[in-house]
Amino acid sequence: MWGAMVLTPLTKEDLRIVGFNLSRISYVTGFVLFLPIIVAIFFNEFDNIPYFLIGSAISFILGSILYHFLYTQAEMELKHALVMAAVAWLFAPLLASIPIWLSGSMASPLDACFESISGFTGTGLTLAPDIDHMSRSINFLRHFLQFMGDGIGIIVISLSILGRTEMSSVLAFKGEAKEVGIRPSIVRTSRIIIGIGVMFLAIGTALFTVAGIQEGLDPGQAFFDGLNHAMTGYATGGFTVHSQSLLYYHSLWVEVAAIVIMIIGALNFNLHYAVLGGKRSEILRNLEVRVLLFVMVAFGFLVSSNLFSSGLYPTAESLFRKGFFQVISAQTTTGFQTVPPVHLMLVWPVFSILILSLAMLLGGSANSTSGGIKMLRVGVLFKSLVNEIKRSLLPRSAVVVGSFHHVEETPLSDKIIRGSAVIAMGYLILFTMGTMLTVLHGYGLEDSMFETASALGNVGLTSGITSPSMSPLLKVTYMFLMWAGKLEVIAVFVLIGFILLALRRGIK
Amino acid sequence: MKRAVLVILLLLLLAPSARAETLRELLDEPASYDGRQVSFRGEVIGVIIKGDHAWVNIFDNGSAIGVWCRAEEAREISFIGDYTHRGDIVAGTGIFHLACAEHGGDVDIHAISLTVSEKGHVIERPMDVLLFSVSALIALAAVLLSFYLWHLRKERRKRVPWPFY
Repeated sequence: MWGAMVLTPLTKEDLRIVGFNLSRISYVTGFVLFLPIIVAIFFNEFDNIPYFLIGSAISFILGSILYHFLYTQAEMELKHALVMAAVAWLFAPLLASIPIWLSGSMASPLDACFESISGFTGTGLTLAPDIDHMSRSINFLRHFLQFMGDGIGIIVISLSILGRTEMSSVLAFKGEAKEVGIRPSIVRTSRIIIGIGVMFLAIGTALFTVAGIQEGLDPGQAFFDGLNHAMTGYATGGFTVHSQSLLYYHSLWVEVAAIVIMIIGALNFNLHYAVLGGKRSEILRNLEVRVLLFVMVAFGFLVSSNLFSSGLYPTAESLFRKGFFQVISAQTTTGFQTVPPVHLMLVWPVFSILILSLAMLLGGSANSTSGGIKMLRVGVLFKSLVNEIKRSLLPRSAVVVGSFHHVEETPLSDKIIRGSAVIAMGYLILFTMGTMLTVLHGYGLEDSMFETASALGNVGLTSGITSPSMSPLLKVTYMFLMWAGKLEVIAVFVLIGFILLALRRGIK
Repeated sequence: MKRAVLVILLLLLLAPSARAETLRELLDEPASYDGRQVSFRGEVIGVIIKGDHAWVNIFDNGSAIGVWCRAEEAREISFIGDYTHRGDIVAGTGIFHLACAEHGGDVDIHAISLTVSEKGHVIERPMDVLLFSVSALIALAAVLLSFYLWHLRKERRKRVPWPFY
């Protein structure tokens, strides 16, 4: 199907459709970059206002130019949606990197782009050399990028609110690797996604604020930190307002609040909707939730046992707060840390590091804010493996029929299995390439696997490789991995096909 | 006499007192300092008072760590480092823990002593008037351009109606 689409000759209208829809992304990015001005005014950081004004204005100017000169009424097709998503996830971060770079928070424009892509894709790897002395408004922007980019989904919102047709929005969902299925109306679906996001943002902020005050923070700081961590926790992004990540608070309750919001963020939007609509039994029946919880608990026990046997963490509390917490952070693809990055590599046993890498690659739920291969696909592939074994054990005449429960009972068709396998294979290919490139830079194999899995799975846990002193080639590699991981690989290949086709056959 | 003084000096140098380490050294070689008395120095980036004790998070050259000290020592701190403040520089000695059993496995230092060695201060961040003017002009240009292009589209629609699809 993809091949047939890509081989269709490109027309100027194709580029027009993509460019025209990008104008909406530009407008929404302009709005996103304008909002931190309120934070700057509130905290008397008036010197930061020009950075946001410039970034926002450039976004609006670009949006207006694209909208006017590429105006078209032609309907978007799937190939446009995929290419538009692939380009938008570079275009929006590029615009958002303007205020980050102007503020001087990053060492170079490349680092600002890295930070911005890490924000939009909900990864959380950072090149900021000094987060503790960063202005609150820039810090807020980093967190807000994760909430808008990964928590809510900027492309979907741009097209479903500013867009003209249902079809373009449905396709935008597909391009952004989300499925449509909550409600028949796409605008209503988007509103529900925003509603769910805002509701959990409020709950998360309240949880973090209460935990912070209870631990001795002053209410103002508890609220500001809580709001930011709720945004990145729900978005399973992992940016934090302190260089020590959650270790800054030395608090079990802050970590518990983080666990709650990370798991909520890693669950499917459809599941949230079903449960909020009264279908509470769905939590236990859903294949994806069962696989996610099983894998999380199994990995948690493996890592904790390994840490216990190594003698590093002798108490049950420390095993939970270090072992289990890091597994949950990795599995939900959030990236909050309660261990200094360098300790993961220097102190933790290799087995635990490999388990964390695997958890980051597998990821959370499909159609959620988390990254990675996704638990639904893992469950589907596992079920199909079991079916294959059954098939080989039963007589030839026997028919093995499989199904799985995901909001509704779904037959395990070859199409679903093939789709899952293709995406899993795409991830594994990129993982291998990323690991090899990191190893070529002189890092150890397990460190390289860990950091690559973190970038590709949009996680943000770091072993210390990601730093401002990292080579520019490695920075670009991780930017590519974060981008490809967010798009679940397919849109990247379609974009490459689009470019190759234009180069070979020209644009009609 | 000279030899005796030299021997005393040598003994003082080799005595098992607290060593002066940077935070980076502590975090990069945690196993070799675990459970040992160390000296520390860094800028305060956070104070969290918990009853009669407090966490003082300190920062030095890209590395940060929590120091568990008495609340009255933490109350001596006047400035916490952030965008508009240079935090107090504190120094002291304490026991370094790679995985503190008392604090859920956190890496920390339990302070024996902690004193403010250098007072912090407010960092003035005046607005760059020229930059602000330029940004305001760009913003104004964005508004005018959006309005102008919107107006052009409206006019064009009036003259040539879009075909019905």
